[in-house]
Amino acid sequence: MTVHSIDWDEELPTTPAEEFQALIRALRRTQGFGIIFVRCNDADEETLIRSVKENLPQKTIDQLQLTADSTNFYEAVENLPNREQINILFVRGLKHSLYAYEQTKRVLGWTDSEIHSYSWKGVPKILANLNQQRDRLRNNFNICFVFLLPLFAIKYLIHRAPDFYDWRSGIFEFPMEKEAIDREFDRVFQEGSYDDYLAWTDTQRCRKLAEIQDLLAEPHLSLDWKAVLLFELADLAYAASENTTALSNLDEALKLKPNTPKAWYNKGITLYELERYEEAIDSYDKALAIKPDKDKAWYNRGNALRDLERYEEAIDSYDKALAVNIGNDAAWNNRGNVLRNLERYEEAIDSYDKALAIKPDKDKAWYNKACCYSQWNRPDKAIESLQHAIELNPEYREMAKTDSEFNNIRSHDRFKALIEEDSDQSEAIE
Amino acid sequence: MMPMSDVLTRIYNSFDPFRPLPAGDPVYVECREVRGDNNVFVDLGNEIRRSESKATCQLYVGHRGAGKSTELLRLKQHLEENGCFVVYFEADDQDVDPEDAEYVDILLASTRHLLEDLKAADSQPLRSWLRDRWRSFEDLMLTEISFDKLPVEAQLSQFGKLSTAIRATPTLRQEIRRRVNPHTPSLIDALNQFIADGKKKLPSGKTQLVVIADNLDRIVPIPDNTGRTNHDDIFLERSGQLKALNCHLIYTVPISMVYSKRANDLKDTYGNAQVLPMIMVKTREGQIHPPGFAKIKEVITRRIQAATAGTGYEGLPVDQEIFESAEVIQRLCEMSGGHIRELMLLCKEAINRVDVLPIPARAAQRAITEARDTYRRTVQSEEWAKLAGVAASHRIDNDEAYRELLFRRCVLEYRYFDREGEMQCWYDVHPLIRGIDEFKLALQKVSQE
Repeated sequence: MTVHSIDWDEELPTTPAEEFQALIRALRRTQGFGIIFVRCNDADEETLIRSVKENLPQKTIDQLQLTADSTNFYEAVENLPNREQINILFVRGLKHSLYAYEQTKRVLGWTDSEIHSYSWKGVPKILANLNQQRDRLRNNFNICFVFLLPLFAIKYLIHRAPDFYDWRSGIFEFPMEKEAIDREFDRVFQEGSYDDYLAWTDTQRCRKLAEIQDLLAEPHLSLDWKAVLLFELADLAYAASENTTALSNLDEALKLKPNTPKAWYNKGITLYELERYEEAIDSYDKALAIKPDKDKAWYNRGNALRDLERYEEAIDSYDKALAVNIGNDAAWNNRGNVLRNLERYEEAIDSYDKALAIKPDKDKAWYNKACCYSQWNRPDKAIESLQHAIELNPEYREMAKTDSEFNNIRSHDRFKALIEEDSDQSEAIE
Repeated sequence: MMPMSDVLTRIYNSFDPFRPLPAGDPVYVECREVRGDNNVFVDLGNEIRRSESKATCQLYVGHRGAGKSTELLRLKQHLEENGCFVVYFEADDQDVDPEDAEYVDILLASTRHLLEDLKAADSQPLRSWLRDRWRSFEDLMLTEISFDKLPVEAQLSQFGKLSTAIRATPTLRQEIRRRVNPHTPSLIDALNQFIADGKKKLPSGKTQLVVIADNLDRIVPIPDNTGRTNHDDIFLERSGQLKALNCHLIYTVPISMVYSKRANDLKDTYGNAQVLPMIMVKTREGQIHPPGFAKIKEVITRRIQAATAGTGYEGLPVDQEIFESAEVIQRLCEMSGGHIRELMLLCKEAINRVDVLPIPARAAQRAITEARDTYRRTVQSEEWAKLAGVAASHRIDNDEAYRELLFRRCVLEYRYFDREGEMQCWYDVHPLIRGIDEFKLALQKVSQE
């Protein structure tokens, strides 16, 4: 007899006011034990608790703050001085104990399993305690527990403590308002850069990963900011050697903002790391189509071509890099290597010399130059260059001992003397 | 007449997602004909009653929250009325941490509960077992007293202490397991001597001893580096020991276990596991299945009847005065997938959206949206295609990916008997997942292929 027809597949969004009313109803109606989850961000927690108190003056409401070091939830509740009176207990800060755990990363989508073997062992102590004690919580406390959590922590519970999550009487979500998003975006964006991420611990990266992902899930986030956050996420993933994830972050960002040369460039680098050289070259091309004067893109493009053994094109690409920035010593050096592969020794030496003119202590270039002279059968010059390299970095002595590049001159006395020099006693006696 | 707000509170609290129904509870609904004829009395009970003195070991399987505990509590009462002495325990209540569980934990839990319940039996074998190993446990037990100086009660309580420590003290957990593990065969021997004596001393009228270990299905699967999980280890590698107790045993098992690559091993070891499938609210073809639908609706109405009794609201037509229309209640039932706890959650969420009866479509739809979000968060990006495959074929492959999806209740199992009397078993994605965009997209791809 229904006159109006309902589209049941349609998502029915809620307003914060509606959601709040629903939470109030659930709290008012819960008699005794209950578990309720509320998704909201840090900054809004205080306001939310205050509003609940105003709306439910008949209930005794308290809060429990957990930290990364909290381990025994049951005890913490038991020790609350007014426990007998409490009807509703807000539980804050559960998220802090989750960052240090590998599995959080997995839940958050970092799954480059070739590189890391993720372990599901080791549950955050507080969560283990919560899960173990929940029958006792139910039986011994007449309290409705309200867990205030960010989105990632809710995801974590769904995956890692499904049965505990199943015990809920409701989940209520309060997305961030515009101003809160602005504040959080600024904070997340200001804190940390790629170099910082490299130096960070896993726990720090995990926290940032969670923060960015939570922000990305906010319905009121602008597309521009979304792209910015995705680029940041890619940097973070790349710093953690999560290359596959970094790649998908970049792809997603580039869908939103295709005209971002830096992102195309980073995508090229990531693809290169994954040894997908052809695709890497495509990405560098995209970056260079927008910003032709990025010498690093030409240089890295050259490296990808080199690895595909497309040497002529590689040289061309290094030349482009050098046309933009004649002082790019790495490009001169790698150009030398490619020329050497083509047995164009004279040009190769010239290229190494250019690198060394810019950076006289570039030990790698000295060593390469030595290899080049050796292949070219110029023992004296080879030994002279090798000596420079070894003076700058003694590790090259060891390398030269087995490097087949020096097979041409290995029997040469001066070469022998150079690589035996300063070696340890036993070898000297031999 | 009770104020409407109080009535709503009573209705709200009658949809309780975390307490199994005690045997004989009036809100219980018998659903066997729409659960593949699953009947604990027949399936599990008869095996025990017909076995006479031979020990049996059976597995009881089902999705979390499907109603296993409720069924097992009924079975317990039924067995007790039929000459059985039943030791029933919820393994995760005091002994087993579901997030990190191993076989030893279960053995110690069984020991502790048998000791607690079989008071008349001679505990000497177990005490000697502990005495012989006392030196190696002493430091873990935090007691300076030599074992023989402890009174008998205190000696026995050490089993409980070990078991509790495993559950509650993660730091001691590994250590206790390491020390008990090599001695499990002798512990089982001692336990069997205890059981043998206990069986002779059962209260009058009782001839059989039954142990029901519930909630083992809550154990979260933890894969090791080779992709094997603790489930494999507990239920397959250690099955000899799990079965070795000389009494009737019933263990609950995660549903995903029955679909491992080693499902055949499981079958060889335990015989056919008894599965409690979902209530079949829809047919494989996606049509409403009226008998299943009637049952799940009855689950709602019984609870509402109980909640409204004596309030002046009793006897109201559920699909007009409690829910706005038959369509609303139908939709909630459909979206539960025939899963009882999901139904409880959906009803609670819907009631959260209203101040007065009847509950309108909008509230139900809001509850559905909320519940859908949980599933959206449950599924990892690479899993949508697999789910679409299940929706198209109504089958699952025996591999880890599908076991995971079963464990997380993204894929549900249904059973029925066809006209020839053959048991048909089929699968579907959770109905809440059908409305998620990512899934719809994946389904399009599958149908294009």
